[in-house]
Amino acid sequence: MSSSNCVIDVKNLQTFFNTENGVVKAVNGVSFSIEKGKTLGIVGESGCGKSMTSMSLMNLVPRPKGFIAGGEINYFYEDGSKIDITEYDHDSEKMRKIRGNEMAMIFQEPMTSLNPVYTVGDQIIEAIKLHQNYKNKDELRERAVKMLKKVGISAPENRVDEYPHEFSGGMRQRAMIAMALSCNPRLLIADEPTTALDVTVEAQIINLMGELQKDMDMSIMFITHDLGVIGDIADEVMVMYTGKVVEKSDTKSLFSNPKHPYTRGLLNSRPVIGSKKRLEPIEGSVPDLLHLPEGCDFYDRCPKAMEICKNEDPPVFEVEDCKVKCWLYREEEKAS
Amino acid sequence: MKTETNQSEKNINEIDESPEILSRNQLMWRKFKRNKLGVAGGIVVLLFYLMVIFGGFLSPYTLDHKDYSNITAPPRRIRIIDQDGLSAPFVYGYKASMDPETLQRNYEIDKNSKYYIDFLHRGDEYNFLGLFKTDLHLFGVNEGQMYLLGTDETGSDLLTKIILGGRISLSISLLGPLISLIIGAILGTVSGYVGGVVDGVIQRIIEFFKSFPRIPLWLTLAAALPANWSSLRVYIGIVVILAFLGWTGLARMVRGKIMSLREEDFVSAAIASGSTGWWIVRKHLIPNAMSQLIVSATLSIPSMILAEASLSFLGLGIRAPMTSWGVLLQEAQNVRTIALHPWLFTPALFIIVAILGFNFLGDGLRDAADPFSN
Repeated sequence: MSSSNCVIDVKNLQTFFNTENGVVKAVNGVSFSIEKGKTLGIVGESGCGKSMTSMSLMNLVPRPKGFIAGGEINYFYEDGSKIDITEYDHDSEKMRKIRGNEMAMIFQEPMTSLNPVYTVGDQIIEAIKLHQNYKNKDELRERAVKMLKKVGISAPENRVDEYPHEFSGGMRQRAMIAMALSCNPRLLIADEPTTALDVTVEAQIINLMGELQKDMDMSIMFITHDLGVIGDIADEVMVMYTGKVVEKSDTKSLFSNPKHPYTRGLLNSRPVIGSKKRLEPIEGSVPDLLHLPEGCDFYDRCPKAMEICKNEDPPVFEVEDCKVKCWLYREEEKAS
Repeated sequence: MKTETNQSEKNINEIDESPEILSRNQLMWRKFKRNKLGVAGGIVVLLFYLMVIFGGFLSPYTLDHKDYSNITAPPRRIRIIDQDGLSAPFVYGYKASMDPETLQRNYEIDKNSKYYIDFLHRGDEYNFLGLFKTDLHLFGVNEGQMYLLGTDETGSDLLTKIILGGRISLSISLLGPLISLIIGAILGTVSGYVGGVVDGVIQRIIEFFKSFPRIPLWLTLAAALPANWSSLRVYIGIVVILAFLGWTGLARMVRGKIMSLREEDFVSAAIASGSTGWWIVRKHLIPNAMSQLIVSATLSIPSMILAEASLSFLGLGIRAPMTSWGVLLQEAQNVRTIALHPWLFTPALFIIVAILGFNFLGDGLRDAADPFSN
């Protein structure tokens, strides 16, 4: 992959937590890169390290317990120069300039992500003022109105002076998106942005994000546990389990030809409209991150477990442009 | 019936036509207005402050006025009916006599001497709010005396003393919490936001302050004020002492509030968009904690009034010639007063009413400021 087209390149990221019972490896050897204008979806169960990956990208791992233990996070600026985020202090000037300006983030809970004591407009203006050199008040307000209009809020001239409690959930998420995009970030990290919304609003927000992405030529890292949403927006999907990437492929082949047993399990446990098949949940639950098994982390739950899986953690195999971390594909890789 | 429906329909239409956008403060104000007791408390407090601001004008005499022929005279009420029927407002004079055995002064109503009340009366000269000198009083009598609440043992009019003494009591009650608020807000915010060792140290300091028995600590500090200080300096000293001991509860409250706000998503959102810590404290944490801050400061006013009164009552607070409600009560500190001059306790009544007013106001504000109650 040529670096000129790449926005972020993560290599072997390790984010650990010190707890009283030992070190929890929340993110353990994750590598990926996102190209300009593309969307990477990250899927996985709760506690598999999705959010910690995004927090590491922002260098906002909860301190003092959490820390980035190893790996590189290379961010590429517009002019092609790069910066390794792991080398900078979380509170440094350089990091603050990246947050919001280069990488923006939207959160799961639009209900609580807006400050109740300021109008929505004030909060968008605040986000702009942090990074851009607008001085004129009218100009700032005009920009806030423009942003609200861009995210599809009707009568933005009036809405800009309203307080968050006067907005519905979907409108608040739109306002959050307006805030996140107000400084033209090149990478948008969306951490389950539609989980708290109802299904119709969810679809609207996903469409909006798709449109804005095209419009602003920005990359999106989309975190969710909802495979249906991923299918709509992502170009490439990364499936995570116990802090590791178990499968990475483009969206189409993930849905048509899932490779890792875990991915198959996720797809089977999802209702399909018109199908009369019973849903098949994945047996068991995610293992305790403090006491991971010796072999494959998915061994206990895997319907296709083999002898080797019990004792040896599988490496990543490349099969038909996909990356799969499963012993099943040892032979296929050799063959291809 | 039909007109009523039309009326309500009309109202609905009116509401729809002009959708009002209410800020948080407006919502708070609406909620506060519904609380009758709180509004009543607010009015009482307002009246008290108006009373002390215009104290010189409202009081019939000045503090320098001493009537040695009428010491510990009982209260006299304003009458509008005399033997002949309706009359302009007046007070009767006193007929004083001394019991030769007990040397006890006895006052009787002298129905022959009738002093009409003179409104916008020109009496003793006083300094209006320190701006200009005037001798205009709201009311007074041209001849004779008018002691509506009686006189004390130096022959001063008690009403005048209470009104002017309220100045000290009530201004301490504003200044003290203000200083406490500033100290408490700063230390509480630092403690809650920074956390860790800093939090631990500040909390231990608060516990240290709180574990002292209160009255002996006040007494020690008040006794440390040099005896040759002017009464104004003593007054400021007392304010500072009370404020420096009163910030602890406030700091605890602020710390708790900041700690819960710090975990809010909008703070994470602000961090994720590149805000600095100071910016977050200033822009997100303090404005959100502000209403609770003001409310708890209001609720701490009564304890300040009481603290001042207690200190002065024990003779370690404000000293004469300055006067406060506590000083006035100190003068009523013996059994003889209870038996013979019960009217010298009227300052206590003022303290009680003022404190009830502040408490009701504070409770009303607290309920209005809490967004989670209905």
